[in-house]
Amino acid sequence: MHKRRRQANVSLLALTGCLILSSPNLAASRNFEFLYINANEGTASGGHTAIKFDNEVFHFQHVANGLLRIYRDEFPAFRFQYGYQENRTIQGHRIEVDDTVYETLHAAFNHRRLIQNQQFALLNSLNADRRLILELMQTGSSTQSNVKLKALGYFMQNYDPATGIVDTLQPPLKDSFQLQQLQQAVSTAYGADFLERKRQQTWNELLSLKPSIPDQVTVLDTEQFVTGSLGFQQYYKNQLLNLAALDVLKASIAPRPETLFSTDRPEFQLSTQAKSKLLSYRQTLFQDLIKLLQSSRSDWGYPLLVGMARLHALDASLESGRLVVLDRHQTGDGSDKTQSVDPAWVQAVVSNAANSLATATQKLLTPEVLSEQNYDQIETNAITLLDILSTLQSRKTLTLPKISNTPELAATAKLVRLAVDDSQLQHTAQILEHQYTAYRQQLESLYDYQLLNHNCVTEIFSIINTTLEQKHSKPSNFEPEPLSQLSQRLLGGYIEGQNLNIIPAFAFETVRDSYRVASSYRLQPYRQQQIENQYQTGTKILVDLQESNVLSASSYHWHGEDAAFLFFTQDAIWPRPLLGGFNLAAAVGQSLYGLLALPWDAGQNLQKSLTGIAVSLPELLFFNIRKGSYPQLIPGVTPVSYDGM
Amino acid sequence: MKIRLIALTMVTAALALSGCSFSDSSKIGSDSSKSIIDSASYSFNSSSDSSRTRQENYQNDVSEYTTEYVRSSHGTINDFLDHLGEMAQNRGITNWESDRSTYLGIGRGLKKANLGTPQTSAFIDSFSGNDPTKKQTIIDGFNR
Repeated sequence: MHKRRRQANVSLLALTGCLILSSPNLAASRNFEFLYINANEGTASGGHTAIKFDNEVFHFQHVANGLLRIYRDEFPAFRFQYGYQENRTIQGHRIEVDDTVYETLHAAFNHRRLIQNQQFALLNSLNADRRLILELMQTGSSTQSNVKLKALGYFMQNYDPATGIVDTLQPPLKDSFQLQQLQQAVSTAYGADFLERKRQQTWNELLSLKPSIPDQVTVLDTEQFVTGSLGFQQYYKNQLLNLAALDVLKASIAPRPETLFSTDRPEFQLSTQAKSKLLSYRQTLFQDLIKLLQSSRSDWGYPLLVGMARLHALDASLESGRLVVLDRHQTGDGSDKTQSVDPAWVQAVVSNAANSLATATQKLLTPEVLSEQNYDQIETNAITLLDILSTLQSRKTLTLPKISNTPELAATAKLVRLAVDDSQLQHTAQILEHQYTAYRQQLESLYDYQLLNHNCVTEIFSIINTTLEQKHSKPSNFEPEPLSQLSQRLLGGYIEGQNLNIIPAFAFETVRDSYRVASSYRLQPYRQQQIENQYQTGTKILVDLQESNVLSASSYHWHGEDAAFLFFTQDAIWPRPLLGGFNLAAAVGQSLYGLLALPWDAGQNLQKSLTGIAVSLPELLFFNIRKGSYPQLIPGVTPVSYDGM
Repeated sequence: MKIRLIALTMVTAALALSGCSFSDSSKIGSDSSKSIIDSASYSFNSSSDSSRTRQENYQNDVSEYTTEYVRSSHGTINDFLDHLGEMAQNRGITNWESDRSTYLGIGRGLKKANLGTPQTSAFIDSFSGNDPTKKQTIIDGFNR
């Protein structure tokens, strides 16, 4: 009986179901969703699971160093990556719960995310502190290190905090009328010698910084949120930024012309109304910059530098009647992976970028006060469009521009030696090294990814069960309410992240069988949507034949990120072993090519071919993993359907 | 039974290849500096249609962070503010002190923390630095 039910469940999973189960009277009920994302070659051949609260999706990902980290994403972005770029089917169960249960579960996943983010930030901070101390020991020597200061690059490329401004490597800096105005306003507000005093104070604060050593390595757990202090390296960099901002203001330096961008295109033309709005924003920004000089935040120099650069961009816009914006290209720590745009979509990419800018500049025509976020959107969309147009003009392959979250064009600054002797620095670096290692080991032990008992599914059930126990248990006769009973009462059933439930597909079934599922759904992956579209105009059998293989398919073009294969086997069950045999042959062929290509492709083809063999072998036993992927798809450009989600 | 065993073997084999979703350094969650997909951030982050949502997202971030901070017994107010700055930058804001959403978010977070009146008042004073406008905005956020 149980076997039959399980088999029926498996087949039902392939259908869009709408299961209305009897549910108790829930005063104010809401649904959260359990998502299952089926397998594909590459990032998750075992499938994936996630939990969704309204538009927010929480999921645990296996990351570098064998750790398991929780992420929160907005559903459209999640859907685009998994359902479109990775071409995987997303299925969901909507689980009906009381409003308070919904809130506590949502808060619990968020709680874990915030705790983990803080803990990993502390790890990075310990490492950065140790590295800075080692670099500080080199100051004054021929191998002296530099540091990158974000946003200072709008004004200069090199900066020496000790001497005040710049070294001799760069062209002469231009005077800024705007910053002279700001200086004047600062003098009026805080006194004539304010900037001089402020610089001296900031310089003294910098010199008096001492690398601090935590008494002991923090003991970590998954429940305790700790707001730690910024690390020594961050304070040091903040002080340098504060100094740099003061020096730019004191010397009234204008931004380097090459850091400001504009064009004659109509999208950049400003109406009188838009100019008036920008003028009003400029006035507010000017007042904010004066206030920043008295701010108690430790990194006030950064917004001051950004604001001073923007003052010039705003004035240039007002003067020319065309939008002028700061360079917003991402530099530094961002990924260097770029995405080339399919030539067929170039026009759509341009239109999308132009539309996005038009929508952003609409804010200049409304009575609403322009916020920094509004201006940021104008800036980022303008620079995106300019970047795309400039790439097209140069006839290069179009890649999507990487835009920074905030203006960050960096300059190189010399490190300033602190009043701490080398032996002390050496001692601190050693202790920090030890603490960093101990802390990393704690994190690795706490968030260790384990295939069978600590993965993306087990963590979801663990958080759900722990939360119910901690927040909703109703003890009777001083006895705690058993978890299974509690879960039955609140969710309709109890699930442990053990046995078969550690496998995403089985866990999804168990959720349907156990929890109070109000309804279920299935979201088609990208390739399936394309085929369905072709059915509208073509004969089904001919479409199926054409789309069954890589050579004739119009919905898929092989790319280097997928291992070589010939046939799509997800649509055909009985011919699967035969087609899998051909796929296996293609993978073996790629292996042979990979061996030959080893000297110049660093083993990429060989590695891909091994994946190809691994995902082809299950096809010989009727099991499909590979679906084909579409990493080249671009959100906002590729036609997508969100199925009302 | 046989089919189930085969399926189980195959699923286990699939898991052995790579269980759950693996994230490489270029595909990082939106909690980090970029969205879940680098290319998607090009559109999902820059789409101006979502301007209202971006503002709400920032307020939510601040609210959630405030709740965690006031409930925990760790960290100083300056530590809190330093981390707030990082959060604001992830949402395109450099001068968070001048952004009304910051204080509305703090107010909402305080409300969610459900502390006693004296504690809440003390936090409102600390977060606002006794600036009457900021204080009122926090109270507005609290009362929403």
